[in-house]
Amino acid sequence: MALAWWPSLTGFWLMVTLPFFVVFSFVDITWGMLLFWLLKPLYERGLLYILSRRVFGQPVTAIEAVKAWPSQLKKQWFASVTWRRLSPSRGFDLAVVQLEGLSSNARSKRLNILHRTTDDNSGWWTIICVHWELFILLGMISLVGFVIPQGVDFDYWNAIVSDSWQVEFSINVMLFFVYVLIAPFYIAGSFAAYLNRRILLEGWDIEINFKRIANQYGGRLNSVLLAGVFSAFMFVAPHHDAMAQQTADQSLLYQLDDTDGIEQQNIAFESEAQIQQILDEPPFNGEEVEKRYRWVGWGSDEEDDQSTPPSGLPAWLIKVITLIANISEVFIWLVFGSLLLMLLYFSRHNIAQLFSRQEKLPLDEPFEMPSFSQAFQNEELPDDIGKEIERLLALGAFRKVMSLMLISSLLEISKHQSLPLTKSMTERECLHVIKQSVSGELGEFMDRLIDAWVKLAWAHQWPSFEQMSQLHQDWRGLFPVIEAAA
Amino acid sequence: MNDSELDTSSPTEAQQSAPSEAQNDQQPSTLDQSILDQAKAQIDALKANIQKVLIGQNDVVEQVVIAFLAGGHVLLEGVPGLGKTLLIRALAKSIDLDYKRVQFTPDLMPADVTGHSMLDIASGKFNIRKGPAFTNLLLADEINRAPAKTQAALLEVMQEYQITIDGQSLALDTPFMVLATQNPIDNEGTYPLPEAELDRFMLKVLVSYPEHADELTLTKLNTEHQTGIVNTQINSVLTQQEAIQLRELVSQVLMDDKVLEYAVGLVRATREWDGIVHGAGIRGSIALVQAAKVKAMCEGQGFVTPDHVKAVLLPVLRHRIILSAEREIAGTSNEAILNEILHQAEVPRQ
Repeated sequence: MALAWWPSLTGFWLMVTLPFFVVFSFVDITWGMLLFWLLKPLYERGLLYILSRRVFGQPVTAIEAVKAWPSQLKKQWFASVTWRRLSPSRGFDLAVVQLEGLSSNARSKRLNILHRTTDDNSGWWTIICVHWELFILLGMISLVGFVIPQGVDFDYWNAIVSDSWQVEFSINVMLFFVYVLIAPFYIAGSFAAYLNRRILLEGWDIEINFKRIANQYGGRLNSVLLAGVFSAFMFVAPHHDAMAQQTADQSLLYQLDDTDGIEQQNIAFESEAQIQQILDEPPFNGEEVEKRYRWVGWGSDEEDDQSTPPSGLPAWLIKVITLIANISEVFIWLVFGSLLLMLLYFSRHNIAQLFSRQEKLPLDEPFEMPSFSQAFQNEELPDDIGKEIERLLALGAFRKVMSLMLISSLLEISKHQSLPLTKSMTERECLHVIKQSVSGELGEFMDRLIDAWVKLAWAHQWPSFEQMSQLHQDWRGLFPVIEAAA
Repeated sequence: MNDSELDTSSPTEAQQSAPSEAQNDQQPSTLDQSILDQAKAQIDALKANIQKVLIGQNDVVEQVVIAFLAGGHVLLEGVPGLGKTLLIRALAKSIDLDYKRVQFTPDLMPADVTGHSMLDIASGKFNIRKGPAFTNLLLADEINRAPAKTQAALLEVMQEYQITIDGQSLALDTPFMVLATQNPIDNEGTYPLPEAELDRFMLKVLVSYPEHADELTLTKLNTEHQTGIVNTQINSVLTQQEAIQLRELVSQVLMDDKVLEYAVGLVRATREWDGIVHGAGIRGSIALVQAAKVKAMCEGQGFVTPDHVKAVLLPVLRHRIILSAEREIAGTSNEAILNEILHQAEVPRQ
């Protein structure tokens, strides 16, 4: 109902509540909003007025509802904004006061009957709607928080409890829009619950249908016939207060009683024919019109058939929405394509390695050539490594000699081979990696060199001068480039 | 005299001063290579003798031997039927040691393990009846099936190497080693070992199924002979005295200060590592160093390198750390997180 008749419902709400909101906000930004909230049941009466007419097939515009609104406030207006303001079932009970016009004991008895059910969920609907209001309000505040630039400090809690009138007014405006969104749904839902309850209790759906038909097919004769059928149904239906509307029609029935038998028979035949005629027409012809959203895909036949815009939306608005939808679709596809390309670009190394036959390297770890020795850790290598080794060897500085030979050998090997060495590797682990890349004399030399170094480093076993000389000679033979560079 | 000093000295002087440079450094290993070679041969013989019956579990055998020589206790974790009892029997017979096996059950009392005093009617005096813990090798089978008080009875035995009965402390024989087993599955009705007791096990060794070829050999050996492999005669390859000498030799294995620092640093890292709520204690550091020394000796080396520390880190520390709930939920194992530490810790350089 709220969706079907949203123009009049929302129009009425805006026309009635906006002036109040502006005035109350102008008087006092905090207490004004409280007063606005307190008077909400009064505005809601206008919504119920529209819904109660529409459901019986009587069109009501927003302006008509605004005009009729003051007359709807007369009954128990004070109670609805004071002790009944926080009643969870106030939306459901509103129909009893406003439409049935009951008060005091009659109202209590009536409500007692309507609420006397095992699944009375009228109060829950209020709680659900309050939560909707809260979530939408928080969503709006969050949205503001998201669009605020990064440099600006934004605290959600401070935004809610702030004393700043600008912030408070912004929150109030958001709350006003929340009410605009939720109030029609709340009253429509409550009224639907009320109708449902009466249908269960009194078969009111039949009455609603006949009244709707009566309004649709005006005219004296039809009215008489419909009233006859309606009275026949009402004869078996239980009595209720809403039957007050039929008093005028009953006078016609009294007139029928005065006619003679043949005429009554003719009227009966004509009635049957006309009833049949009515039953052959909507809404009794077995056809159903289903209104729901359905995606049919771009360029489909169904889409082409939908040349006429949906009811309630002007053609230009449909065009604008369609244009926005088309642009959005192109934009989303562009974003998707760009993201895909970015993903491929940043994963190019992984993809290349996926199809590469080379051994995978541990990419999560940076390669750091182990220094093996602290001797040259914080100083640059000498320009002439060969000469420096000879000098150190002559001095008997075996640790430095071996350090220089190790570092220069590793640097030279790493120029030709990939050596994924890290600082967390021990000497023997490094040797294992090196021997996977080099073999033959070079591998054997590295084996001897590292073995000598390990013994020197951890067993404190100094190599003999002959052993060092041999290692030096082998080093010179295996790395002539370093020698030549020197 | 160090390298920097040598830079300024003359070649002739330097050549002569090289030995003195070595002397000024940390003292080299005092172990003679022949002694080391002999020790290695004995250890290899011991391992080979056990591996004759425990086929396809070389790592397990090596770790158990390391723990034995390091004077520690072992917690063996594996499903039933992988030869845990056979292992201890083979170890005991290979060294000519006494061994006892206790099946831990929910109704096992502490006195059933340690022993108790009993009134002798004839003499009117209390006599001490020693429990199965008075042995060289004690197999505590399915230790987690016994209640906490019985498990706690092992604490004094494992740490103090003595048993107190009726206020009388009785020293245990040397060598003494507890090999406890627990089943990783079928945890219903078990009592998980408390941290204090877990910490007393030097190594936690995981016993897994053997490789395909080893299982084939095992099956063949068990079905070809009437006696089966379980009842195979195991000869002693090491005397008790030799075993004790090997243990004493371990203390002479050289460990450079930087390697020691590295080992302790790894243990300390477990206390601050993201994903570990409870790291290893001081016993962890001691066990790691001791096990690394034995590992070096097993390789015939009189000195410890960072490789030896790395090699024994997992069995030493895997039961001494408790992972955070997030890492456990993420499916991270204790071994994986210890490997993380190993992977990121910088190895010492000289």
